[in-house]
Amino acid sequence: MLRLLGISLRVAGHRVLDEVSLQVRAGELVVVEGGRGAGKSALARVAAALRRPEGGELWIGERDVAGLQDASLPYVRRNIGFHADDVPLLPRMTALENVMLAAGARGYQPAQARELALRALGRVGAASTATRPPETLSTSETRLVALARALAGAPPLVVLDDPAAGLAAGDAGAVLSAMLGACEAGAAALCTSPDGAFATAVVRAGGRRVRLEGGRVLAGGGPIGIVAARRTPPPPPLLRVEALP
Amino acid sequence: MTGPWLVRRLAGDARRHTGAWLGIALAFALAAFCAAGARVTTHAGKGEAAAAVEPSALVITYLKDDLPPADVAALQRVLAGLPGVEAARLVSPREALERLRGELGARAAIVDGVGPELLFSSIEVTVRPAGAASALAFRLRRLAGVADVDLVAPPAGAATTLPARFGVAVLAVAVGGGVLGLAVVLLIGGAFVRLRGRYRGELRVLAALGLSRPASARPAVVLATGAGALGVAAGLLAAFFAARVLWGGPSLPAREWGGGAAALILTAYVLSAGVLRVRDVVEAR
Repeated sequence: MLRLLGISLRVAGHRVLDEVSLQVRAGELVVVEGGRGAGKSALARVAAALRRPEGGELWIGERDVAGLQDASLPYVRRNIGFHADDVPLLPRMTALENVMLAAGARGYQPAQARELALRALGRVGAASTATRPPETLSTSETRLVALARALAGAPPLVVLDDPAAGLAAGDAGAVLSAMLGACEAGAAALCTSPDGAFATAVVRAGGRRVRLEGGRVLAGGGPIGIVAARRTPPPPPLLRVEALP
Repeated sequence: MTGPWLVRRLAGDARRHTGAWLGIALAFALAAFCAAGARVTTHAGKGEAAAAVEPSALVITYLKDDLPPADVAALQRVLAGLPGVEAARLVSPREALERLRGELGARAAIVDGVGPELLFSSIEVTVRPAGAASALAFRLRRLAGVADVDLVAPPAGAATTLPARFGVAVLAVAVGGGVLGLAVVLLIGGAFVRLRGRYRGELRVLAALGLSRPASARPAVVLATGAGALGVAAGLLAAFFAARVLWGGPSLPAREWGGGAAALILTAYVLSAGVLRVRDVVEAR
């Protein structure tokens, strides 16, 4: 469902992603774990087609998205449930309306979108926030509503950048449960986290862990381009693509 | 997102950014008022200037005593409708006698005991330009009910220059209009800068959710154009009624009002579409 092949990205002259290769199949949950500055957020934005890489291929479904024109990307993004802290909820709209907007972007009519939004809010444990605007929500509640927005309407690809940040254990468990529910419905789910405990919980729940450091995949990238952790420069790009199963 | 979604988003955006829409409506109301006011003032000013440069003459038509009142009224109406006639006023014998007393002043006792029946009723016709008065007087003398016609021409060399007050009025309008015009430009610019600021973050979010550029900005463009249109309508109405009070009428053909309104509404659309270009406000990738 999601394949990143040799993705490279520079931001302000600084190399953020270096020949990253990663695969997430439909129904699979992958957590990208790494410390500060590892490139997790950049990887999430590339995977969600919000950032165009300088090099490499980004396959979502059967399409190489990296080569698409800008005008075509919205039609790709509406099939991706994305969450990051810099994509906030819209102010002076209720939580329900915010989540409905995402379902509407995915093609659902208002009545259907409302039902899906309520269901998504319930899945993450934020049903009580439906009628309140973001200005009245706590940080945790805001994050849960934003996650519900990403999951509403069962998008085939879910990309969540540090979804458990700042959440209590119970809420983090609800988020993990919601992500697993999306996978059970057939979605490919990619999330990032600096928290080793959360990554471990993902693995215990049947997901896969990928370690990212200095913009490079150290381990767990999946069947494509897995390279053992090394401190020396990576191998030449020709070796990055191995045979698919 | 069209149809029901567009209506929902329009209602939501109107609720969330009421200040921005009111600001845009007010800015365009002021712009329309200033533009229409300047145009009407210029138009009316040209009329005044023409009036000042071209003096008028007075044709006094003395009526026979046996002319029925209905015929007098009909003659007055006809004279008032002639080209170049600014006014046609009926002066009764009684009014003529009072006027005579006033002109005699201290010697008004001369006409003590004189009844109004000894004076003619008359129709005083003001004609501009004065050159057309003699031709009118000639025609009036040939009418059956007319006893006599007097032509009171303007003094020689009268008013070929604009009165001083007209020059002051033009200067005042020019200066005031310039200041007001600058204020309008700043107000409109400020309103749209505020609009862009309000929507900057929202457009980024909508792009991340997968809305295309036109879909992201559509509600805001529709609301901005609508607010501009309402403001233009209000401004033009205010200018229309102000013109009636000041100049006694709009003094402009309907197509000028319509053309000006369309131009301003189009400006609101172009400004909002330009200001809300999603590409510029979405984070660079």
